[in-house]
Parts: sequence; C-alpha cells; structure tokens
Amino acid sequence: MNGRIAGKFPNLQFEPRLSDCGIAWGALLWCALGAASHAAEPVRIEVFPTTIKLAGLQQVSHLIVTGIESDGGVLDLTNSAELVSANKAIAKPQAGRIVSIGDGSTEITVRIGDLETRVPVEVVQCAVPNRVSFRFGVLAALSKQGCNAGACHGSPSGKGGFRLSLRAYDPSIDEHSLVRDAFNRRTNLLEPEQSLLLLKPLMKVAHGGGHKLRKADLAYEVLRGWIDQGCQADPAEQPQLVKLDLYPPVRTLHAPHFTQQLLAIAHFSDGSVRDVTRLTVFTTSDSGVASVDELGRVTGHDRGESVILARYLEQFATTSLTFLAEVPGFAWNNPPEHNYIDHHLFAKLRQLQILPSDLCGDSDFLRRVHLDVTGELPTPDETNAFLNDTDPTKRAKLIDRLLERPEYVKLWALKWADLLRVRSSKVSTGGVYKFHHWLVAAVRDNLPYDQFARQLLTAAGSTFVNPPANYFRSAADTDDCTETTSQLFLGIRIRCAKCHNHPFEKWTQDNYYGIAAFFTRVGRKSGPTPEEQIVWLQRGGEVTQPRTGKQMQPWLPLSGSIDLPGEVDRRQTFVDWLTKPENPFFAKVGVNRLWAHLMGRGIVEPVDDFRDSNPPACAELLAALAEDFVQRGYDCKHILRTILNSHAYQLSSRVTELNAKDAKYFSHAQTRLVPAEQLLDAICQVTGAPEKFAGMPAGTLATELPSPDGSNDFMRVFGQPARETVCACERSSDANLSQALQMINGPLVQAKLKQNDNRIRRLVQANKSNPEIVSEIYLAALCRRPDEVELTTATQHIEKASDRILGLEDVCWALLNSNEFLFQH
Amino acid sequence: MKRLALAWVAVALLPKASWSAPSISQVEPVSLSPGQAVDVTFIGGELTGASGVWTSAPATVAITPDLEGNGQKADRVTYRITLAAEVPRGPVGVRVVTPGGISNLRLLAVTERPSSMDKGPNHEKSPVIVALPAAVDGHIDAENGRTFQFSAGTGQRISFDVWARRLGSPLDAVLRVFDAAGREVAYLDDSETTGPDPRGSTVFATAGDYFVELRDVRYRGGGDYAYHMRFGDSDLPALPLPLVAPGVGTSVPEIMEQEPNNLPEQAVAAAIPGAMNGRFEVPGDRDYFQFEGKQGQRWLFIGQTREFGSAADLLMRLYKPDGGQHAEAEDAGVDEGVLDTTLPADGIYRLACEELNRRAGSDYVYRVNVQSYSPGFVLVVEQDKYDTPQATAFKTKVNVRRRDYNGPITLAVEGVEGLTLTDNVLGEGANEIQLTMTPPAGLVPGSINTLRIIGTAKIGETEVRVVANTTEALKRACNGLPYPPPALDGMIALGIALPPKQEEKK
Repeated sequence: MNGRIAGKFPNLQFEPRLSDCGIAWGALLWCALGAASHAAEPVRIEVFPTTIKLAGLQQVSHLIVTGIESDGGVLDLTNSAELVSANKAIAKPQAGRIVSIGDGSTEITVRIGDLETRVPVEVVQCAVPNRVSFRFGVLAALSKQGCNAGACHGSPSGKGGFRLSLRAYDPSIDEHSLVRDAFNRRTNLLEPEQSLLLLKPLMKVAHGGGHKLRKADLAYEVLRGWIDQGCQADPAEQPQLVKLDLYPPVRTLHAPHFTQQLLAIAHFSDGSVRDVTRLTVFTTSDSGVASVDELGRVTGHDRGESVILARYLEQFATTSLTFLAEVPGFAWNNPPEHNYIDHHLFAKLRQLQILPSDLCGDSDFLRRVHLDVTGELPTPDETNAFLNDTDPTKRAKLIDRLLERPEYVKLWALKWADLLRVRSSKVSTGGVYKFHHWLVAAVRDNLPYDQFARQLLTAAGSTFVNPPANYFRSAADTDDCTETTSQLFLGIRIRCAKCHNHPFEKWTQDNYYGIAAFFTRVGRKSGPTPEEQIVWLQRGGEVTQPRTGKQMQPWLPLSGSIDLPGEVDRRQTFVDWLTKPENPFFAKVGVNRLWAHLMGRGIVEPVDDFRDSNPPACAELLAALAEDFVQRGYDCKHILRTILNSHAYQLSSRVTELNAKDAKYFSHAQTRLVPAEQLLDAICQVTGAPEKFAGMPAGTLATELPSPDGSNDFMRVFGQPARETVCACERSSDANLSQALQMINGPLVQAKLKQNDNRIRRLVQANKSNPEIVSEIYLAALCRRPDEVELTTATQHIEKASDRILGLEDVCWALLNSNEFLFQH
Repeated sequence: MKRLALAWVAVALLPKASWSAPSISQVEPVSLSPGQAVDVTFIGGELTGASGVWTSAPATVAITPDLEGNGQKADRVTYRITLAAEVPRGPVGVRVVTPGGISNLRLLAVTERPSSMDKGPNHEKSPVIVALPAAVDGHIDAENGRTFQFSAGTGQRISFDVWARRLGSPLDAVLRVFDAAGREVAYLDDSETTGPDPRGSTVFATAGDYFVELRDVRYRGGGDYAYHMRFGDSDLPALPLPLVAPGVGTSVPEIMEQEPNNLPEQAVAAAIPGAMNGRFEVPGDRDYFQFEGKQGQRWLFIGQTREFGSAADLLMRLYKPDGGQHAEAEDAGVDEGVLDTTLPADGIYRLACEELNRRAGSDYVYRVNVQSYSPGFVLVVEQDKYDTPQATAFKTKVNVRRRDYNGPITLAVEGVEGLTLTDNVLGEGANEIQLTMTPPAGLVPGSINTLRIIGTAKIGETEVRVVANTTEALKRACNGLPYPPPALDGMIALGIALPPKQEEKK
C-alpha cells in the first residue's frame, strides 16, 4: 500500500524534516538590533537555516534570506534571492523552498546580486515511504484551515453534526469523529477525493462554513493522503511534539522594507526538527501595524510593534517585530527625564519616532493628580493655593501630601473591592463591610503587595473574624479559585483551559488542573451565625483532569509539577512561589495595575491579560517597574509616587502632529471618562450638594461605599461594576447615550443644581458678584480660572437671564456637561 | 430556681378594653451588678399594669417608686432589680409580666462593675469622657455611632469588651480607637470567642487622649441595638482550662492533656466515659489521648469549644490499635463536632485533636466529652413562651428526634402545680405531637410561671428521662444568638391573661 501511495502522490509534501540545521540562534540575535537609519543596499547576506537535512522524498525546508546593511540594519530578501542547487537530483529549489529529490549531499547557492552564500543540504531516506501522521499532519491541517475553531466544528456541540475537539486538543475525539462517527461517511477510502471531509470545505458539497480549502493547499494534500493511506492512527511510539520555534524571534524592519518571511520549526522528542511553516497558524497582535498571511509572510503597515503568534497544534511561538520609518519633521527634543520611567519610555518613543507632548500645565496636573490619587477634585482654595505657589518642587510635594490623604485609601480600597467582588451576593451583607474595612486598613497601612496577596491566598477561618477569608467565599469553588488567582495575580486568563487547551496561549488543560490542585483542599462550611462562612483546610483531596482522568499534581507556571505529600497547606507553597522576586508574573501584573490606573492604559492592556501574543507597550519599562517594586518590598505607594513624579505622567493630553496617532506608547496623557463614583462625588463637590446614600452616614462619598449593592442609576449608567467578575474590564469606561441624558437632564444633576443650600446659593447669599461666582465654579469644576472670553460670556448670560440664580445654574450646568469636566485629562 | 418577685395589682380595676401579651423592644440599662439595686426600664408595648418581672437568676424585684405614671404606661415600665450577690457573670434572662400575659425574653449582662448609662447622642465632636476602668450601657442609633474619650498612659494595655449579640441585640458592633490626630490605632470587630461582639485589648505606645467609636458595622441602629461595653485597664482573662470545673459542672473524669503529646506514642492516657481537655498552644499543635476499647463498643466523642466561648474549631480523628485512621469529625455551623463510632477491635485507641485551621492561643481550649452510646430521643418545643387566658387550655407542638428507639414517649410538665395534660403520649414511631395543656384556675392573670416539658420512656431496662429543649426558640428570641444561655434552655414561660369576659364584667 505504501508503494502505491508513494507512486500516486509524488508531490505529497508533509512532515518536512530538518535535522541538525546548525541553527545559530544566539549569533543571529543581533538582527533584532536594527539601526535607526536605513541604508539602501545590503553588504552581506545571511541564510537560515545554515544547513539543511531532509529525511524522506519531497520534504521541504524554507530558507530565510536576510540582507545585512552597512549600518547593521537588516531586510528580508527571501523572495528576491536566487537559489541554485549544485545537484538537482538530490535537492532543488521550488517556489523559494528546498525540496528533497534523492538521497545524498549537495549545496544550495543563495545569491543576491553580487552577494552569495552556500547552504549544505543532506537528503536521506527517500526510499522510505512517507506516512501521513494523523496528529502532526491531519490535525495540524484541520487547525490550519480553521475547521476545529470554536466558531466551527470545534464548538462543544460541533457544527452540522460534525464535532472536532477545539483546536485539536483531544485527538481521540477527532479520530472518532473523522473515522468512525456518522457511519464512516466523512472519509471514502476507495475514492479519497470523494470524501465528505474534502468535498465540503472545497464547496463541492454545500458547506455552512464556506470555502475553506483549496486543492493547492498543503492541507488538502495532507488530508487526501491520509485518507488514501487508510485513515491510519498514529503508532504509539510516535515522537511527541515538544517545542515550536519561530524564526526570526525578533526583528526590526525599516521602511520601505516592511516584509518578513517567517519560518516555523517543530521540535520532537526524538530530537528531530521539521519545517511546519505551511501547517502553522499565524496571527498578529496588532493588525494596524502588521498583518501576516497563511504562508507566514508578514507585511508591515505602520510604525510600531507587533507580535506574530505562531501555533502548531498545542505549541506556540512568537516573533516580535518592530517597524520603523522616518517621520518628516521628527527631531527628538530631549525632554527631561525625571526618573527611570522617562528613560525607558522616551527611548521607546524615540525609536518609534513619536514625539511626546509638552508637560501639562499646573491646572491640568492638579486636577489629574487629585482625581488619580484621591478620587476627588481639589477645593477652590486648594487650587488657588497650588496655582499661586511658585515652589519649583510643588508638584512633588503635592504628590506626597495626596498619598497621605484618607481619600487615597478609600479610592484604592474601592479598586480592590471591585476586583475581589465585594458585594453582598458574594460575601454576604455583613461580609461586605468587614472585608471592605480590611481593604481600607491594608491600603492605609500600605501593606506590601506580596503580603496582601499572601493574606488573601492563605486565609482561613471565619469570613467575619478574618475578612481575607472572603477571597475563598467569592471564589466559591476550586475552579473559581484557579481562575481568580491566575487572573488577579498572574495576569493569566486561564479559564479557557478548563475545558480544553487554551486556544490562543500556551496554557493547557493539564496546567489548569495543576494550578487547581493548590486550591482543591480549601473547604467551606456554615459559620455560627447565619451569614458567616468558615474557610478551612481539608486534610486531603486531589484534582482529577476530567479529560484524561489523571490525578493532577500541583503545577506552577514555568516551574512544572511539584510533589507536596502529606497534609500541608498547598496554598503556602503557591504563595511562596508567587511572591518570589524572580516570579515573572506577580510584580509585573501588580505594577501594571498601578500604571494603568494613573495612565489610563496598562503597559500590558488589558491589565490582566499577560500573554506572548499581547506584548507590553514597553517591555523595558515594565521590567524596570517590576524590579523597583520587588526591591522596595512591594511598596505600592512607592511605585505610585515614582510614576506620578515622572515626566511621562505629567505630559499634556494635547496631542501633536508627531504623536496624534499614538494610543499605546504614552506619548501624551490619555483622556478618559471620570469613573462613576468619582464623577458623582465631583458633581457633589462642584455643586456643593452632597449625596445621601441610604443606610450610610451623611457625608459618605460614593467612593467610600463598600459595595454597589444599593441601586444608584447614575453610577450604574457611568459604568460602576456590579462586581460579578475579577476582570478589571467589568468597569466600563465607554460613553453612551444614557450618560448624556443623565448629565443633560437627569434628576441627580438637576437636583444638585436646585438644592437650596448649594454652592451657587451660598455664594449669592454671601453677596458675591457674578464674576466671582463664575470664577469659583470654574475653580471647583475645572481647577482653573475662566479666561476672559469665558468669564465675559458667562457673565453676560447670567445678566440676560430672567432670574440670576437660573443663569448661574445654567453656567454650572454647562461646565458639568463639558468634556473638560467629564474627562480625566 | 424560682425567681418570682411579683407585685400583684388589682388588674380587674384597670381601665382596659382588651388585653394582649406585653412585648419588650428595648431595655435600659442592659446590665446588672450582683447585690446592687438597678432601675431597669422596659420599653415596648402593652406594658400597662405590669405586675412583675421574671428573672432567670435570683433577684428581688419591685416596681420603681416615685416615677410619674410608672406602671400605667403602655410603652414603658421601670423596675428596681437587685440581683442576689452570688449570681455569676454572664447573661441573665428577664421578662415582664402583665395581665395580658408574659413578654418576650430579654437578656441582661451580669457584671461586677456598675454601668453608667449612655444617653447619647455623643459622637466624635462631643464624646463622653470615661475614666478607666468603666462600663457603659446604651444603644446605637442608625447611621451613627457613639464616641467615648479616655486617657491612656505610655505602654498601657487597655481591654475592650462589648456585649451586644450575646445579649440578643441585633447590633453587629465594631469598635474603633483613634488617637487625637484621628488615626485609627485599634479596630475590633468579630471575635472567635464572642462572635459578632468585639473583644480584645491593645497596648498604647503613646500617652494621651484616645477616642473609642462604637457603631453597627452596617450603620444600622435603633432602640433595640443595645450594648454593654467594658473598658478595662488590663488584659482580658484567658479561658479557663478545663472549660468545665471538675466536680461542679461535670461528674465524669476530666483528663488534661500533658505536652508533649503531639505524637501517637506520647498520647495521654484517658478513661472513657470521661472528658479529655486541652489547649492548642502553638500553631499546628496536635494532642493525642489514648484509651482502651473493646470491639463492638459504640462511643460518642462530643467536641465542646465555641459553646464555652473557645476560639477553637475542633477536628477529631480516631486511630485504631493498628495505627490506621478509624473515624474523623469536625464541627459545622453551630453544631459542635460529634464522632459517633463503633470500635472494630479490642485494643488501645488514640484520639487526635487539632485545630481545624492549625491556629493556637490561650483561647483555643477544647473539651471532648466521651459518652457511651445509648438509644434515646431528643424533644424539641417550638416556642419558649405561651400566653393563655386563665384556666384555658392551649396547645404546644413537641417534636421528637429518635435515636434507635421507636417506642412510646410519655410527656409531663414540671414547674406548674396542677397543670393538666391531654394527648400526652407520643405513639410508637411518632415524631411530633400537639400537646394540650390546661393551667389550673388558681393561676391568676399577671402571675409568673415557668415550666419544663419532660419526656420519659423505658428503653430496654432503662428508664430514660429527657427535658425538651427550646434552643431554636431562644435563638429566634435573641436575634440568632448561636449559643443561648444553657440555663434558659427548656425553660418555658407561661403567661396567664385576663379572660375576655372579665373585661365585660368590668
């Protein structure tokens, strides 16, 4: 049979094998260090791989050809290189790839103009018939074509009666579906081309998923070949896939040379390697910067950075590509660096030729830092004092003062209460208040972040007596603990891996249940009082992986499985690992949250979604912040102070021509809607009409509320989270029509404006003039005095009004509805 | 234990159209000192013509004289109560009696130090200044707290002990101590030993004035949100070990653990039936006891911790003579752990006791009461008080939880002479009964009566006698108090109301 196959499919190209390529990864790393300027012609060329070994007939290897310019810059010349074989009976070039023809050794000459280099090629085992691997051929082909994607046959119930495991995470399901399910109707061993498996994606038979396969695709050849070979299962001794490499791992490209061919190489447990580029799925992290086609060809579209994620079965690899282009008019103006933040961030901006905005003015800074640190606006007196202060260090001094204010404490307690799901349905009504106070005390005492995590993750006892135990009340089962802990402290959204290997990341189902093994012994029982719950440590209990039925050992990311015999509290081991200074996740996730709060966007964004395919905007900055965090004993206040004092934080929100398109690299302050609670408090401050919350003492601020349990339409409309999830994304910052209606004609704003003893009426009673009142409203709302035009316009409006109070209310209403008030800037 | 101090008045002459049982929503103060006369005001409804106060501890009670309209008001009445000098610290139950019946139960704290009454409102701007040691009674208003000011010396340890939930108050108290600059220097909320009632001590590093804020954790409040707060100038006493004083509260051998006994081979010899006692001294402490057992013996190992105010959550594991684990028990909710097991072989068994979360400290004390298992039953009465017109029958539901006994159970009543029962036999297998009780005509309206329902049965050759408990009713009466005072359990108050026709005669 094998002989028949070999004769029938002479062009079958799959399982390409490369052995001993002589890949000098380290030596080629310099390619990433592309120079800022671009030279026109290469002075040298390099080829990867430097040697080729192909095992079997018609096996293929790509050759990546790189031109080295005189200044060290690089450009991809793969598509323009001339390839010449010294012996075409052994190997020959074909469509830019090297194809094995017969056993023996030869050499490929790679030529670019006058430049050339040679690549030795060895071909073996051409007489051995090729076997199509079910796993490495068929399943990879189905993944490549998207057949087993979540929206297609990889959904839990499949599509059209045909179910595949999501992205081939479970070969046994796939084998059953393809070979035995539906009375074998999907494969036709007598006439492979008539197999439903081929006819449907070719659209020879109606297919809801559309035209997914072409005869020219390698996937077609692989699937047809496998059917023709009798739909054989893989032998038990087949080597395992252990790693995927992507070449080049990192590269900087200069306009106009914005293309790069990628090469995906799979490593197997027997030491062999194979070029799997044509069966690898490629995706880009930023399609605005670069796109990648199905053959692994990257095309840059704009300045910036993009990570290309390659997935071959369950293995992932990434390439980080930077695209640089000369920007007319760009000249680095050497803005002062206040600290290491500016050093790293400005280096990135300079490399990308994005010029930062100017430093913001005192008014903007005052308003911004007050809202960011305390959640409140400064009073008019505070604003006047700051604006009149001529001390050159007044910003730093203000930052120090604000970080010691009680409002700082309640604002950060609010942020953590959001993430820890402090609401009555999760932790009981009494628990809300007790847990919230614990958070307040933790922030007030500047509890080091590692201790904060430790107290939460190792908590036990009564949720009322020991409030951190509520962590295990809101995370009410082992799965929830696994997902919550991963997302909160590791920045890993691992939920997908509960049911199958993570479709976009390297986390597997085994990993999920390995982490779960740390939390499976957490028990919960009723407490002495009805609302109370007791968290306790069971002396035994293991986690079983539902797909394999295997009992899982505790597993730590990047460390592996560990043996923890006996009745130990496994959570201690987890936290010991988590809070080690060298932990690659913990400190970075922590500082990223702090950064995102102040800068409006995480260095990694979303803040709790760290993955290879979602790279940091400035990896050096993130690393430096994390290192500082660790060295300073996980002192959150220190990091906040460092960021606040940076030049980067104090940049203006006004964009320039040289940074207008930047929404990622912090070249200017990011304007964003003031969060719900802060906005409500700000309206109360400006109008001088405090809000009274049911059941809470008079004077309680919205930011002080321990939970969102009391219904407040205004805050809900402005994105107050319900605290149902641990995702920071639950707090919405999107603008919507309801918000406009609330501000323009909503009952809350109207009531504040009309309240008898509000700011306007108090000022009128104090015999203040219209300009004085207008100025104070401007100071209260915008932290600045009105300019001449504003003051004149407002005063004239008041004077023309039939009722002076009404006119003043109009002015205040207009300011409350201005973007300058509604947005943090 | 009859504590009747009745000031009987001519109820028939009172101008009232109809009579309803009295109710109490608020008591001021909520503490009594043994041997000291205290005027206690009961606030509630239907208190007109109050004829007396029932107390669960020995006391003399008289209506307070010289108060205008005292005894004639529906919403309040004041009695002078003098507890007997020998009454120990702890809660004591009180009820007000009127011609309409008997009121709901309220608990008062018995304390050696007289309290001052916090009349409020006092807050951070106008705190009440107290000199230590001190005790204050009062209630918390909604959305507000109470603030007290005291002085502390450098390095002085000061204790705080709030009684609220332990008195059946709905107050979920939180106590915060601030320095003069407004910095929080201590925060006390729930405690492992006292539940929602804050209890603890703190050392003040700096001499100066300090401020205590007491409030409900959820900012709730009202007249019934009562509290009794003690400020001590020393640390709080640790729990005693053993929890039950030998020869006083127990008749079985009380075995004490002796460290080191963390390993099986270090087990302390114990006799069963008996009680094993210990304290978890250091985190992860494990105490082994050993005893000789016979194949087929069935024993109950009853853990006792929180009902005595211990912080311990007890985990018990029983090991066979061959060293293998035989059984395990830990408590859940308010139920203390019970290990009910039949021994599989003759030999030396070891009982390992440890704290469920491996915690330790002076308050982590435990007692394991080991009893031989025997068939029996538990009786449960759903109410802790009944009101009925004079000489008029009333019904009460009694539930039964049987334990390997399915035979008949005969019910009787103790405490009220002449009270007759009908339908007082629970038939074979029956799990509930509507018991009809008729008080004697001699029980007059306004009289104070308490009774207990007793069940008896002959199980094998043994006459078994069981007092019906009212635990759940007491919990309800005391705002969910998880461990009501044991002395009150099973004690049913009976109020006798004026019959309707008597009002017509008038």
